[in-house]
Amino acid sequence: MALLALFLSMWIFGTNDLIIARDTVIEHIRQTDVMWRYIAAFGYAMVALSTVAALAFLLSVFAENSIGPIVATISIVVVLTILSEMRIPFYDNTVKPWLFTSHMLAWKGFFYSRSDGQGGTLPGSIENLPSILRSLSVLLAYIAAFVSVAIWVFRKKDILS
Amino acid sequence: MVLPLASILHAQPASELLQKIRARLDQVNDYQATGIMRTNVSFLKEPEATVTVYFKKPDKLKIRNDKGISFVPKGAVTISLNNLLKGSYTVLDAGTDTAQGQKVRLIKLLPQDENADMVLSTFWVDASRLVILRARTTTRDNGTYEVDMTYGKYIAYALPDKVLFTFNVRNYKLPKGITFDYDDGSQKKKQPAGDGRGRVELTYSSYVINKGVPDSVELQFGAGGDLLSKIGIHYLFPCPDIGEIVQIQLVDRNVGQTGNVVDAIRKIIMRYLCQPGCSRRIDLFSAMQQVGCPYQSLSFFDRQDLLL
Repeated sequence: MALLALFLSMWIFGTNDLIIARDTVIEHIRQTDVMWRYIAAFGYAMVALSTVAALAFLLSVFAENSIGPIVATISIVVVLTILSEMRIPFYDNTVKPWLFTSHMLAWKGFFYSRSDGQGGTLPGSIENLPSILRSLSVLLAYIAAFVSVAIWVFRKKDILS
Repeated sequence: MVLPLASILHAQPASELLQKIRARLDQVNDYQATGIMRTNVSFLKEPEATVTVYFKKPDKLKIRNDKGISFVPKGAVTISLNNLLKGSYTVLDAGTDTAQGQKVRLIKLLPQDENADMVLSTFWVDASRLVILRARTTTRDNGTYEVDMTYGKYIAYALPDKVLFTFNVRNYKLPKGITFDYDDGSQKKKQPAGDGRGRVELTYSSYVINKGVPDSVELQFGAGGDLLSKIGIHYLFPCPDIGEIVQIQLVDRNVGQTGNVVDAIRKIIMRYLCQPGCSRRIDLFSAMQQVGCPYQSLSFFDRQDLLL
């Protein structure tokens, strides 16, 4: 999917510099500085989607059909995403850090370059790598938690096959 | 008493000083300069870019980045001094000042054309080297911008080694993003307010002077209302605000080569097509007839329909 998304687009539209429109600033990344960012972002996105898959895996242990966990997973992701993006100061420090959906967007951080202090950017740099790594560790922790709980609940069942 | 009198006698009139500078600039028919462009604007994070600047007399300028995209401010055509000194104006001697650590003459230019975009220009002139160190131009629609120039090995042609172009960015608002930003916590820090000014610094490494400009480079006069292109004997002018392009076919091809008729047409279009409406087109026809513009046909195109 990732290969199709990226390379098909490159084949259709060609390649050039990348413009990132953020809330308060427009970032411009040179063509030669883009590909490794895409690879890193896709890698991170794989972990993010694995978190959703782990959640679905956990919910499937509690259900007896397949539709229920699917709907429940999507509903949870949608609701938590809305909560993650609501700009309420109270939520910023109390709720958002605990939601895995807040950390799923961290792949965008690979496209934010560090400034050189004079309005320019440093090629090959990432604005806040520690934050991305922190979000990555949160997602891995969620995956571990969801899978562990799923295995634990499953083992307590009477019928295991 | 003798010394101050001597210095008064020695000081050149401002108009004569500008004429000398203009004569130096007139030595340059065209140039191709390579340099590095650095952008410092509050809402832009732009890497350094290697650009090529093409100039052709009298006022065509293009900044091109062959290896990607570059954001160039709208008034960047004034980076060339030829564009600042074009047209007819009244020269005022505003005394002396200091620029780049040296004493300079201060000269103000008032355009004689009431409809000119430029309202006032101020030059800080180094009379001993006959170069302009700084230029501040106030325009009708695009605010005030400054150009600071540092000279080196190309001073004989009055071509700077480094140009710092400062312009207003205060009123610019970014469009709201469709997708959410990643909140990494650093955005919670308050962004520094800034002075509402953007800066573009061009450091030239080399000039190729009077060797011609490649035909493949599409030189433009400037933005909005100026000559967009010339295809055969058809002159095309983009019309600001209404998104249309006026095509004028001049009967006499040679007439179109001079600046005067083209300038007259441009001014008429700017005056009459600043607002949409059919009556404006009729006004344009009658105005061009009064000027004696030798046009054969006049038609309007929607910008999207015309592929250039």
